Amino acid sequence: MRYADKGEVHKDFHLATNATIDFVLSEYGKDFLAELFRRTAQNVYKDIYENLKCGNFQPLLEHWRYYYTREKGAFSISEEPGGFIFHVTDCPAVRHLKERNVPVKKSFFLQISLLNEAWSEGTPFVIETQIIRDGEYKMTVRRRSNDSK
Amino acid sequence: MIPSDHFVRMYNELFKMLEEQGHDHLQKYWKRIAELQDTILGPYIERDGLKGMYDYWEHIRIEENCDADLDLTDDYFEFTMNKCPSLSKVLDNDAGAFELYCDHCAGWILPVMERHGYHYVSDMVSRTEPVCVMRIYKNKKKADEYAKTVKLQARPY
Repeated sequence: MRYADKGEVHKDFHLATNATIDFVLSEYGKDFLAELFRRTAQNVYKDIYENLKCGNFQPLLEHWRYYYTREKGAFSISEEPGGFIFHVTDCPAVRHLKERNVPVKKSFFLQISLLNEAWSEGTPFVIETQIIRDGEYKMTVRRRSNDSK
Repeated sequence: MIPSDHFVRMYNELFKMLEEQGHDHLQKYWKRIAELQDTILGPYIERDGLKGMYDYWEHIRIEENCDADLDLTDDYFEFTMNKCPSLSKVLDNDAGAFELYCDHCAGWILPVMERHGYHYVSDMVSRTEPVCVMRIYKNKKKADEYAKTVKLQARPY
């Protein structure tokens, strides 16, 4: 795994992500926010993205499993033909906002859907984000229907 | 989800994008972060002044895995970063570091300190090494004297 942090976790960074999404949306709009998450997904997480382009979702799965575990989230993983479903039932980021009495707006979930859209671009995979309720969502990684591999 | 551990790498990308719009765009964002941080750090300052700052940054030293030393005197609070985890992550980053990354700290701390009547001096030492020193004074004259001795003072505005 390209990045694998250890030690303590400073969860107030989720508050900063929340404030950042609000700032970018209000000042620059959704396309600018999408570009921020595109650069993050494809440049910061270059290793994950390059592997997806080559048809390998394992680094993405490993990344999710590691960080949702590290932040004490609750999730399950099930196989999907040519992919998998990562079902988060207790998102650590949402939980932290609630613990700090910060309202969880719909826009907070854009960090998830926009990252997943950017990871899908130019790869044999589609990554769908389904928000079920605050703190619960499914991320489904599956091969595109026109991908023959 | 952007993991807590990776916020700074996303932040670094945003800095690059805002700087592309013009430096004032970046400054406006730092001020927005200062507003958020004032809701967290502000109560410590209101309650205990310099000692409150010590308590806040001691909590940060632990939570953010900083290699840092803290000092509290009658005149100032000092935070010496021996190895900054934030810049270290940004340097260990496939997207590359924004050249003014270090300036963001002063970008949010300075407005918070001014709001509470304190005088902040930050010696970034170098923008490519994860070391720095900040001092926060009660007395402006003493802060100005200290500022004359620093190597690379942060001037975010």
